[in-house]
Amino acid sequence: MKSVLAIFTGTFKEGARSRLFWGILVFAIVMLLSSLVLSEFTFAERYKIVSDFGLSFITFFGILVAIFVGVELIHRELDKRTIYVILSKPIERSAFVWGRYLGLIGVILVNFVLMGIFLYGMIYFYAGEVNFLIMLAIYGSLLEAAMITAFALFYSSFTSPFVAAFATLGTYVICESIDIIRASAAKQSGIIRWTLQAIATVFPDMSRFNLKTAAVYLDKIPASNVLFMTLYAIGYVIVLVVLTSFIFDKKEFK
Amino acid sequence: METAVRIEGLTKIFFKNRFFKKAETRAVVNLNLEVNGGEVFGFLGPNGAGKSTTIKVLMRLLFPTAGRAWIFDVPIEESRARRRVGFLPENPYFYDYLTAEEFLFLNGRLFGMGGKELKERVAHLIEFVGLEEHRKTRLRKFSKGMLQRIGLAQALINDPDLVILDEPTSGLDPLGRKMVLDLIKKLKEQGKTVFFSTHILPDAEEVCDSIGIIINGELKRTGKLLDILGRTKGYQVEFEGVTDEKILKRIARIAKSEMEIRENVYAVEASDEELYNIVELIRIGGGRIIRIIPQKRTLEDVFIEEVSES
Repeated sequence: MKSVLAIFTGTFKEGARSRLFWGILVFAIVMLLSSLVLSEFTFAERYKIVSDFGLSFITFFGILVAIFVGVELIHRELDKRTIYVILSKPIERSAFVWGRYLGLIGVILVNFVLMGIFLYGMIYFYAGEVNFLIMLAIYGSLLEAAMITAFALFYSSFTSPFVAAFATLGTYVICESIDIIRASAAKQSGIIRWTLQAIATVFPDMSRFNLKTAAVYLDKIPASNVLFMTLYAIGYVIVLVVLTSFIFDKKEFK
Repeated sequence: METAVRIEGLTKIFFKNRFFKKAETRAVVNLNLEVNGGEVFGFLGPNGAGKSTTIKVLMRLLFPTAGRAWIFDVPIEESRARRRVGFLPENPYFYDYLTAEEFLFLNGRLFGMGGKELKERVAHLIEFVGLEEHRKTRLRKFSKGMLQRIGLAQALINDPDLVILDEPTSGLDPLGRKMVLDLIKKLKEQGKTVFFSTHILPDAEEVCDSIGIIINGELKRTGKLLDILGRTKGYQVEFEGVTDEKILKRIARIAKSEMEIRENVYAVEASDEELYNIVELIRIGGGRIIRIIPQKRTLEDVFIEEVSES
């Protein structure tokens, strides 16, 4: 546990200080600000426009950090062989994988907190009202990012950074389209139907985490939904990190 | 005496295709080696000989194709085998955005260290490797020499009984090299075992008690450095006063080298076997021996012999 904590701390500091992280964050804030400009040209309520665009940008940039910071940190570890020093210590490789994953989640959490604070400030300043549902919607996006990070870590453990980033991005698109895939499967038959059904079963359904519409239109979000999506995300993360640990356990570092 | 490292029948083959076992490189072949506790062991070989591969197998970064190894009698498969080990990889590169101090804390915590003990150890090591002024500097701003120093510091964080250094002097300037060699000597004085790989032979000759020479993955020679270098490779004989041309020609014929003449003093190299004959010829010719200098072998001579034989 101590070694997981040590690797978590190192990863968190490394990630939170990286230029890539700050670059994406600054860009995200610029984009959040642009939602204010957009709200000037629409007739809809300012609150809805700002929160809708703001939440979409937070999800987008949160996922971007998850994919690129996640893949980059692992790739750099392998490419520059910093991993030699860590794995030569009396620790299990699974401790390394968990520490790395949790460190990345720490970085992503900071990203979401900073973007969330900024969005809250913006909504309050320009629309004069703010509510708890926005925070729940951000939480939903954070869970999505946590799962995407687990996929990024998983792919990075056995492929090149380019392939890992591409595969993670592809996974995100699939996870966001599970409903469409299910609907398509129903219209197909044979192997295509079977493949589409398998994809829809294996990959997590990210639409469960999308609380943006409810937050923007001030709909109720039941506590059971929040609990369910939390457990659903934790389940996927555990399976992916355990699989990554298994691959890392067999991996050689030339 | 405790055996620090024991390797039995170690073979490492890198396969092009792991499933069809299509061989690519036989990096290490049936390596047997023992390093005693408290000695400085130099693992020598040209580039690509299998030194780093062997070290990586010991550190569990690579898995052996065959054979086994133990560190202080603990099989390397067990993570506790690395509890008493400090390791510095070749051309180390560390986390860009961590400071020197943070990096050492991270490494200490991986050994389960913490609190006052770790704080004091980090402060001591930063001073020991001469980086006091850079303790708060991020590692991305470190030069190669400074990275090597912080790398050595992290290898010593747990006060290890065995320090494994992979090419620790490679690419360093003379001052950096001296620092590393002095450190190895200090570790030896403290009773630590040092296992280091190098292809820089004068470095090994300066600090090693024992050596192993590996070429093309095969351990060609291993033993105490003094035993290996102990045998002379011949003698240089300097003499004067021999005027008989026939005798001079006979000396020249049996000598190992061309006869040199400087200010009426002759110098020839004689093998162990021919030394007596040359001395006898000088005596018969009425000459006087000025001096006989034993020609000691250097590690380079031994190394070149082994490479040539391979």
